[in-house]
Amino acid sequence: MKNSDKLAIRTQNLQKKYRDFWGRDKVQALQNLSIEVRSGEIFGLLGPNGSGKTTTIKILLGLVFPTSGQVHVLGQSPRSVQAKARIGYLPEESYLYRFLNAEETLDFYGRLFRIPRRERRRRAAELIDMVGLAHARKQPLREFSKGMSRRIGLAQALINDPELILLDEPTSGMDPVGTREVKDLILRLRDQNKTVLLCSHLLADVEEVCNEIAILKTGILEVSGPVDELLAVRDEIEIRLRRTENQTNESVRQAIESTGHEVLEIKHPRVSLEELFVSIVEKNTSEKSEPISSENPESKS
Amino acid sequence: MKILALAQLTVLDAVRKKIFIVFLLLLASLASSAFFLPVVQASDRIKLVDSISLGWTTFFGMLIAIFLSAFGIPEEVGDRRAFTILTKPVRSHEFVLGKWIGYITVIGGIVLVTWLSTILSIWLLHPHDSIPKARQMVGAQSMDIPSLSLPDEEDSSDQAPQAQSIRQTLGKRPDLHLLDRNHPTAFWSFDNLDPSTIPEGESIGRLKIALLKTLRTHVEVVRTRLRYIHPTSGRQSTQELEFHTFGGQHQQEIELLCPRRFISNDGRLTVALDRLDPHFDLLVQTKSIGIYLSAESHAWNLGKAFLGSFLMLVLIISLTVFASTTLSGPVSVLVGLTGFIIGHCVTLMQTLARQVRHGEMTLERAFRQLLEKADQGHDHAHSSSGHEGHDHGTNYLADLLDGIATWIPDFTRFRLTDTVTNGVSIPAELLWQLTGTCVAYSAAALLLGIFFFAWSDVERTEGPWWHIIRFLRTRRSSR
Repeated sequence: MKNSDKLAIRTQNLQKKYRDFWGRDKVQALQNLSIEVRSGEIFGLLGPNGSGKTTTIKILLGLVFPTSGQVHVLGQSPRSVQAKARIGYLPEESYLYRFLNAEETLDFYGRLFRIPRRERRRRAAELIDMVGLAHARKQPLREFSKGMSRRIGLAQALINDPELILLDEPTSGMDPVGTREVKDLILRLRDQNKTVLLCSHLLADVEEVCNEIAILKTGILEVSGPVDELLAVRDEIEIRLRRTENQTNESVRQAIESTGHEVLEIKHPRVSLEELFVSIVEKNTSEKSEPISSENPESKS
Repeated sequence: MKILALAQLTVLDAVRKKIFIVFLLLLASLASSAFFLPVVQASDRIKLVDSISLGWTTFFGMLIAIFLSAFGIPEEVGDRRAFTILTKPVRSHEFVLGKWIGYITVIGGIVLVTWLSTILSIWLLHPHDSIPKARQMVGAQSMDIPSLSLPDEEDSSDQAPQAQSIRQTLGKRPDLHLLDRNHPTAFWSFDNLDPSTIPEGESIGRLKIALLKTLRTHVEVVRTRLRYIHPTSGRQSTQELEFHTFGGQHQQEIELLCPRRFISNDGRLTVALDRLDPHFDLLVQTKSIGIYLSAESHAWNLGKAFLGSFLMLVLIISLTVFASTTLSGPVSVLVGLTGFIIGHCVTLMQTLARQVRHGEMTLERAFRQLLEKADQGHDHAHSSSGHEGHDHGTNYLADLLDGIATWIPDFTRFRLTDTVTNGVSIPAELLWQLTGTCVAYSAAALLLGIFFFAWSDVERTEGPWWHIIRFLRTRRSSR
């Protein structure tokens, strides 16, 4: 069996009802949710507020019990510690201990995985560098900006070198450079054959990094499948050419129209605003030879 | 390792809280206030320091213990810091135990620091050799009160009302005995005393008696006599005792001045107490007389009393942690405080239950007395008098009181301030008993807490309460 054939996450008819104090049903957060996430895949979980994304993640992590239905994470119950030892989780907000500094935070979470001290220190240093917090390794978390908190949150999610990483709004509060770095990191994780479940409101981010997505609405799975298939416009074709002259464009148009097809538009492609911003900032940063860090300490969370 | 990591984090979290620092400063200032109070003798100052340090440590320790442990878990779940821990390979029992160990470490640290600073203060203010040593005390093996047939010497109609009340109480306290005109002498026998461990030329022990006025006569000085009898030769030494009294009932403590030669070679000694004054009876127990054995340092004895307070605080923490695994912070505070108050009323509840069973107490009076005494923080209620009849609720009340008193540990046993200030060594057996009680009750509370925490999800959306509610709803709908 290929790695990609293995299921990292499998839910069947998952239901979750929240109740009031007297045990009466109050909110149906999930209804018959069945999803499958294959190993090595980047899976995007999308939906408006209150659609059940965070509840799904909490169930997958064993934090919240489903009212009914079945859940398997890495082939085990989400409450099993064996499964949890192979999972990394970045919560929606960085719920961390604000009196610890970056190193102490990673050391503490490393101890929960029984990682030997030397290995913990090595991994902590590596992750702090990777998330661009080398300059703030001794700084207490209460002095961190929101973006810096997200970065250290991301680092703690990776302290155990997990097989499955659940990221809840990983780029929220981050500037475009930070966002780009996180997306690059997610793509690197895919290259390392890790499975990532990404939950985000930023559809552009999801589109860029995810192989598959599922869209939830009021706890119901509306659509799921590969991104390329779901986003493809079936009755149009896009042709991209490198460095064409106006004459060439015209020739291409005529050639296509001669086959009886209509050419809708011929224009220069645009880079995204994010790509433009990142290229400018990174250029300035490399000129000044400063480390990658970016958060404005004034904008503390 | 995981539990220790969580405990360490809990300690760090606690000591960085401002409220914790405020409590500590308040405790330090109150404990040191004893040094500024005017007292005549150094020994009185030492007693005062001991009493205040232990009292305030227990009180503030209780507040810190309850507030820390009540809000710890609910706050972490509420602000979702617990999520990042519980999504790691941490089992529910590891999380709860880590928190619990963290709290008891914090409280243990407070108790340790207060103990050390108390003995340091005493040592700085008074020369080391002037600090009295704590003496171990051994009780009598047996007590005998032979009855005599004497002609009436008092008119029973002239008896004081307090005497009648005490005589009623005596009927239900088999451990108390009265030396009256029919039983004027009590004998206590000691075995296995080692004369070499008994001090020579100073007090060898202590007598604790209650004087009970039996006649409506104004008496200022009450006379009694102690006799030390060599068990083999029958030789005697007497010690006349005089008590200055103005009321009807008094507790008195007297040092025993017995030459060591009255202890036989095989370590036996007999002590007799004679009632001499016809206006007063004497109330005694087997443990009324204690003989001092070898002495130990005051600091160590004080440490044992602090250990007693610490064990009580551990019990409070365990109870509150149990509550906090299921309930909110404020409700857990209420549970902890209620446990603390009920724990101090166990003896009172047993006494009330006995009185209710004997028809001396009505439902309404029992509750009123319980509330009044609980307010005062005292644990005895011997002063009730008069029959007010039964009502239907009394037996249930007695059962309830007895039930609570059986299941709740008696916290007054953990408070050893009086023993220390009286200069009596706290026996190791008592500390072992207290440790056993603490371990048993803490284990039960933690097991329940872990069970509830593991069975519920972190947002309390599923768990034992819902199973119970669903069960009740199913039963109601099936009817």
